[in-house]
Amino acid sequence: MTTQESPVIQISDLPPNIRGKHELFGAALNREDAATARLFIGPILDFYVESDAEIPEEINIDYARLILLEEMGRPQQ
Amino acid sequence: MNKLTNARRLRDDHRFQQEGRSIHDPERKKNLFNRPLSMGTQVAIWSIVGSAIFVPLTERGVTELRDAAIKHVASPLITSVTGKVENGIHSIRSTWQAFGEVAVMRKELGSKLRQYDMLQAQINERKMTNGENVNLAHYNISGDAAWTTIPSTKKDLQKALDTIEEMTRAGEKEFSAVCERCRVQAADQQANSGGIAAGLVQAVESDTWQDYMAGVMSDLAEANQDGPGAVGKVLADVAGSLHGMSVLADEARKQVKSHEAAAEEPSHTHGIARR
Repeated sequence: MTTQESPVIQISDLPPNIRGKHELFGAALNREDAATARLFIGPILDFYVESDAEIPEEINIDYARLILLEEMGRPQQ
Repeated sequence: MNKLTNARRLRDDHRFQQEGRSIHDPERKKNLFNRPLSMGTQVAIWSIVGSAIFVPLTERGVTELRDAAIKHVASPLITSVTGKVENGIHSIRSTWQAFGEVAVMRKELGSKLRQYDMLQAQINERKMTNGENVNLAHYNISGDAAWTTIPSTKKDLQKALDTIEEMTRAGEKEFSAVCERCRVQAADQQANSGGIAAGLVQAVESDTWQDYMAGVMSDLAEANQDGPGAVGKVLADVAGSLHGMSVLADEARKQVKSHEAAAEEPSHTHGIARR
């Protein structure tokens, strides 16, 4: 059985409220503020899942950046 | 139907993170590692000292993350975890060099990539069977992703070497072809070029792949006795050399092109018509 691929919704095609959150997410990432970036990525991912759509590459990359930031800031054990 | 899209997996990961689970949490790590890697995604998975992060293999991603990755490895956190900062830095630098090399080779090898479908299947199978404890160096140039980690067991080391050998064989063919074209051009154009191309041929051929790989195998065998840190250092050297060869080959290609252009201009042949 083949799986039907989900359509990719590009960032430029996001509804304004989600696009705004993405801009804030990106801004937080750029100033290496992982906690704030976390606040905004949740609703963005929720939107993609609820829309049954796939994320564009930019979000994949930015999510990886977020994890890197979090790992770098993880308290020393 | 709940399709396991990247969006869903990232959303799940987000929820795991919100629950306070670390990147080392088995379920979280599994969720990230088993993400479907679509053609557009191009994700590289890098695992070091048991921690796992995934980073993109796109040009933009590599550029943006290179400094962060080096900083990450050099951070006090990793220092405390590994106690081998120097090796760690070598390893991550070699990792990024290897990523660059893979990206270059993916472009250059063209149709040869199909030969690596089997390798892709092997990698996937190995990933499944070894689960979260995958410890091997893979330079997967057939699909969308490259995985690279430092091998810590003899078995995994051997697998890593097999993979590197596969890649090297493809590279050898490619570089041999470049050398041959360069040699022909050098013979043809030497009078005009002042032997530049010939010099490049010598440079490229001075470190033959056969001798090189024999040396690598020997070094890795010795390093394996000294532990993963030493292995990582050798892999760093391997990646560095591969990168160097790639640069040489690029230079050779440029020379070939310039000679070809010169050959098409009769006025540059000392006024003697060429036949």
